[in-house]
Amino acid sequence: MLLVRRIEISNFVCFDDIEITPSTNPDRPLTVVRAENGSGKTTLLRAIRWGMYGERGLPGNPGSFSLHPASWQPDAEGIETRVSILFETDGSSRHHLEGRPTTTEYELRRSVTTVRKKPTSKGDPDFQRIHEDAKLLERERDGSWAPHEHGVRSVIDQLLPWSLRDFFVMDTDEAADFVGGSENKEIQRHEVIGKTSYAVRALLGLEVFDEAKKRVASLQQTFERDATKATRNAELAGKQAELDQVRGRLAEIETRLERNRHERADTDERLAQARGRLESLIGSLAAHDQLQERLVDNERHTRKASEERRSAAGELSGDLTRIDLLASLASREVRDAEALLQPLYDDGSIPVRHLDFVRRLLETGTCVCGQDLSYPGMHTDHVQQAIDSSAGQQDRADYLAEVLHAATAFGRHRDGEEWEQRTDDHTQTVGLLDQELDNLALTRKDIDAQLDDIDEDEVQNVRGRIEMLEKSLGKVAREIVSDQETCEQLDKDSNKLEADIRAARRQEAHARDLERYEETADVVVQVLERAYASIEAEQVRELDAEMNALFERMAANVVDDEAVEDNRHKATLRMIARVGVRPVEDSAGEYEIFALNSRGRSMPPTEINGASRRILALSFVLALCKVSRTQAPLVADSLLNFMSGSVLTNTLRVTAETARQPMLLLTPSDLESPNEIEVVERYAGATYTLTGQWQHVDQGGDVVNQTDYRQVALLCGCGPRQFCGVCERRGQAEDPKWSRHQPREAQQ
Amino acid sequence: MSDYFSDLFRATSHGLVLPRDHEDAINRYVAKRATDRENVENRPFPRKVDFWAFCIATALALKLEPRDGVPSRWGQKFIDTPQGVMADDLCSLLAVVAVAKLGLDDPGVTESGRIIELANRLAAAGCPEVLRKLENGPLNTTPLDQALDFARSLQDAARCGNRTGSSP
Repeated sequence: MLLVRRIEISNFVCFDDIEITPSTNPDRPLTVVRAENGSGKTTLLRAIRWGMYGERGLPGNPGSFSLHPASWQPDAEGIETRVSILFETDGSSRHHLEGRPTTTEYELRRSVTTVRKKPTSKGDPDFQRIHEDAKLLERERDGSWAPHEHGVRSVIDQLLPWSLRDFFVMDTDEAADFVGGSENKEIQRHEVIGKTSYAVRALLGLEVFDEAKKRVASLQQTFERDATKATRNAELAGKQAELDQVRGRLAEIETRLERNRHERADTDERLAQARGRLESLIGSLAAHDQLQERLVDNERHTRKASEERRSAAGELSGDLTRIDLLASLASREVRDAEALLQPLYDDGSIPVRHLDFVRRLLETGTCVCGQDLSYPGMHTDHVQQAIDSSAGQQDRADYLAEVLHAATAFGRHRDGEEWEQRTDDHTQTVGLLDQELDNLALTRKDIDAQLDDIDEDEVQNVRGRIEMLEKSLGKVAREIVSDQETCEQLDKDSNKLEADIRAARRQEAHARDLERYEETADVVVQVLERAYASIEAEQVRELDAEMNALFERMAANVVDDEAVEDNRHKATLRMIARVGVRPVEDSAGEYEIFALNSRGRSMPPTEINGASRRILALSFVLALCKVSRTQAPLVADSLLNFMSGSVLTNTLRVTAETARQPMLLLTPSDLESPNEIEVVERYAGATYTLTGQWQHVDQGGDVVNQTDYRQVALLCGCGPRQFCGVCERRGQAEDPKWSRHQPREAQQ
Repeated sequence: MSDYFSDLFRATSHGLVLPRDHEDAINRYVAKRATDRENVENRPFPRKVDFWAFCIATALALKLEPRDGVPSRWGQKFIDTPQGVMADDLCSLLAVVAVAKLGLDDPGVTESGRIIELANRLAAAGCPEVLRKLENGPLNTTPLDQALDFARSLQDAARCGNRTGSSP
């Protein structure tokens, strides 16, 4: 167990000299530091982190992060920043619960001097830190302090490992990395799994087994190698070398296999995100495809209808030149011609039929009067003359007969009904086709409008990304299959070689003993593997159940208003039916946090809203500490951000009841309702309020008294509903909910 | 319809003419090339001879007198009869019209030259009417609509004439 007794901070950003004494009372373990936004909560957390972990505890590029007070102007003399943390441990560790009964006090002192520096380039800081010093002092039995024999880093890494910092000094935004990151932050799935798995293995002590197993397996191979050497058999030695080579290759492929599995998991995640993005862009892929199909269909119909319309219009144009129209328009003339010619036809004048009769008689040599014309004579000459003169009349009569014939034929079109009917049909066809084209144009407009709503470039980009990711996934999957096959083959080769070597070695007496060692080691490996599997299953099951229980407590009594945030498409607490930790499929020793909805579907982090993610991460941290019996302080910033109503109260209560020494940095809005006040009054053993002097009324803020004219934050001992001369804000003195606190001397 | 008359018209060359003054206007409504058929709404007549025939029918329906004067003075030839642009039934109709208009006593009633001359004069008489109709239609109608509408109104006029039983 580890308890922080006191934290002292000097010349750190906005703090001159402050001292915090967290509660160490097991019945009232909670310490609350209340501060408005921008009053120094996060700076306080950074100061503690810097005190514990030095430069690596600072955010961003530590070299350009200013530790010194904001009002200090760099000078050659410099200014010293100090953080001192007094803590005690009862000697138990995370792995040895009972531990030594004695309690040891330590003081971790870290200091650094900041001096002026000439910037070498634009953006280069005008200061540098020198003489960084960290000391870990241990209180001796006689009460004096002596440096610890192993130094700061080894002890801190053992007690409060950097990789598990979120379990002790928690920036809740960072802790949300366990569940895929806070809102607006994207973390690769394998990193999430890596971080979660490391925490689970380290805090549940599973690493010990893993290490032991690896060590014994290595020993086993050494025994085996020695046993082969002992046979002094050259052929066997060759096989052993071959076996070593196969094992080397196997290890190489297994490493690649693991890397590819991670890559597959990440690509899966990115693919899901890209598909999600695409769906949000276009409603659904099917809808977009349907629109495109409708568009193609519309274009095809439009082409066809246009073609048909052209053809119908061509028919109409043709109607203007049809003979039945022309004949009907000339019907008067047709009728007149008929009237002129019909009598001539009736009397046989057209065509001239009697002349043919006469001509045929003459060809037989007989006149119409019966005289023989075969002999020349006056009568014959006269008849021949008459026939010759009638030739022109015959042509004319034939012509007029043809005209009569034509006029009779045109007479059929006199009324023009046939033309009118046909033209009306053609006009109607054109009208219908026009209507169809109008409808098609309207539909096209509608489709275009829907497609316009979709950002086509973005859709194409996302489609391209999906295609690329699918290809990449396919490649990785193929490599995995190939590597798995190779591994199987190498395993077989390795087993065969081992069998060969063993068979040969069995003949050698001296080898037997070593062989027994190897077998023993083999058995030990198996025992360790089984023990590991059993403990892992049991502990992870316990962790899973505890996490779900804590989550349920935090999410209890949530009503709609409290659960729904701005981001309405994100899953809220009420939609999450079950949370927990589970082993990652296909990856031994790896774990991930999951959340299931009421239908048992796993919800990716991107689907979960901000408050739910925080609660999920917090329930994991608290459950893991509880199951692993890790009893250490939990300094948490922004813990209750995004929360309200019963979620906020529940989270505060569960944290106060579950963590061993919770130190929460909260805003006044986190402590507005009587429910939170009640929790604080019940569980808080120490309360503080931070006040930024730059929030004074003269500077646009609402702090009533300007206690210090510098840009510093002052700390007082006021509770959540108290004010004093240091922290008083406008309206508090008149508000019955607030009471004046007689503070200790304000700290700067 | 027999090809009796088309053979007759082809046998000797006669020019088909339309009024020179209206040449530009006529060209606007006649397809000039194959692709103009895509634009049939605005160029409703496939060929000049179709426009010419429609003008003749218009003149007959409206009982217009054939245009006077020497055709070569006011007319512009657009094709010769031997090129066979006139359909058989159009040739027959022109022959019928010639009989009705000239009468049997006119010695030229059977002569192709006289028949074509009469047709040209009738076309010249009907042409301004056709163009007036095409050019003065409502804005939302096309020349094809106008031409069809005009054709229907001519039919009505022709029917009316038939009922009153007018003679040449």
